[in-house]
Amino acid sequence: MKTETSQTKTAPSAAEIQTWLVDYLAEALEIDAKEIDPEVPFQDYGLDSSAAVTLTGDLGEWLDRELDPTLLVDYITIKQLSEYLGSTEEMVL
Amino acid sequence: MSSVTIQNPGASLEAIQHHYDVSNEFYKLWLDRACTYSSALWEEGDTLDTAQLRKIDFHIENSRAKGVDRVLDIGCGWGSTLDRLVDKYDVRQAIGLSLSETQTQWIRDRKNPQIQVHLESWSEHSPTEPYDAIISIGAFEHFAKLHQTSQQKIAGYREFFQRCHQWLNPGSYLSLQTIAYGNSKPEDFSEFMANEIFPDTDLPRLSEIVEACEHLFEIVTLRNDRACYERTCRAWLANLKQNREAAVRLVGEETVARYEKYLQVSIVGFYSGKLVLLRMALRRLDRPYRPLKRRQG
Ligand SMILES: C[S@@+](CC[C@H](N)C(=O)[O-])C[C@H]1O[C@@H](n2cnc3c(N)ncnc32)[C@H](O)[C@@H]1O
Repeated sequence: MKTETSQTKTAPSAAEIQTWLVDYLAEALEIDAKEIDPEVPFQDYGLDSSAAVTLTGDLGEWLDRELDPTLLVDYITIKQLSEYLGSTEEMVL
Repeated sequence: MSSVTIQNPGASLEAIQHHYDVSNEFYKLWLDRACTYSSALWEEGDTLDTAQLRKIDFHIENSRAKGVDRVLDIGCGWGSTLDRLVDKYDVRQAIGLSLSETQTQWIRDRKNPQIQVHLESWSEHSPTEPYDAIISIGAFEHFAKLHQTSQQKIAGYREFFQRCHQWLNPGSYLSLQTIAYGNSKPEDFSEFMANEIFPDTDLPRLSEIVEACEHLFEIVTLRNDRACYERTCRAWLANLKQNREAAVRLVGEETVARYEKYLQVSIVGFYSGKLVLLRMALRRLDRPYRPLKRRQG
């Protein structure tokens, strides 16, 4: 009997992804989540390319989908990234 | 034809061996068949193997090495260019320089009488006869150290171009390929790359190369093929993923993860244009610039 929860679970929405990213960044920067503005570019939080690659990898693991390491080059804020990922969930491999 | 040797202004022997002497078997798992460790040159329908050969052929043509007597390959890696020079381009003697012991041993073990390899930096090289062409692919990245000023870097690079000038026959060419900073500055680069992947190494900027070779070489062609390097890193990463278990058995989980991350960070760098890939053909100036003498009026 294979009724894994992951199969019945729906993919996270843009809003859920946004919350995950805010919490992730707050924890990485050791600041309060309230201080993170989803419309401020990742770069302005001091995220260099190595940190961006780590974030993308961790996010992909949480979403259980393969994410390209260049994602944060084109989607430069939490808002842009979560809206993009929330709208493309059907492309899950 | 010998030269006074100077101290290597770039990354040290230890730093180079930190990266390149991980294990031949490990690199064989994810590089092309000939173990070429630099950006390929891609065209429609290429595989990594054919794109690497295309790149090597490009530099052999760029350096006008076909059918000549002696060619120097500075930073020869595992020797894929040396092999091609003597096997396919009728070069009588191909001489390689590398700071990696596993690489030089690997080339010596193949016992090709037309190929010689020296475990030494260009700054220690002292040839007995001149060269008809020089190729250097993916080594210039190592010719400056982190935290040098731009002026210091240029001085070291100029030393390199002076050597090449001195060793080349009149009218000969140098074909150069290197990563450079693009839409970025050294301080944008992560500690990760500097400390864990290429310790002791700083990349050039195009302007530094141009200044360093002025009046020694003229730039004949220059291309920025950063998309080629992005694609090459993607191919390497895919190979490494495919052979992940074998790679972990050889070098351990931590090293494999470190290389995966390095390839991903490189993909981001080339994709975003923070890093560029320069390919230049340089012709030796046989009469280097001399200032005009003004008559005393
Ligand atoms: C990225 S590998 C490229 C190898 C080869 N050209 C290829 O494309 O496969 C860089 C090479 O540069 C060599 N190298 C680094 N610093 C050097 C120096 N100062 N003098 C000579 N070789 C050097 C390394 O030992 C290594 O073989």
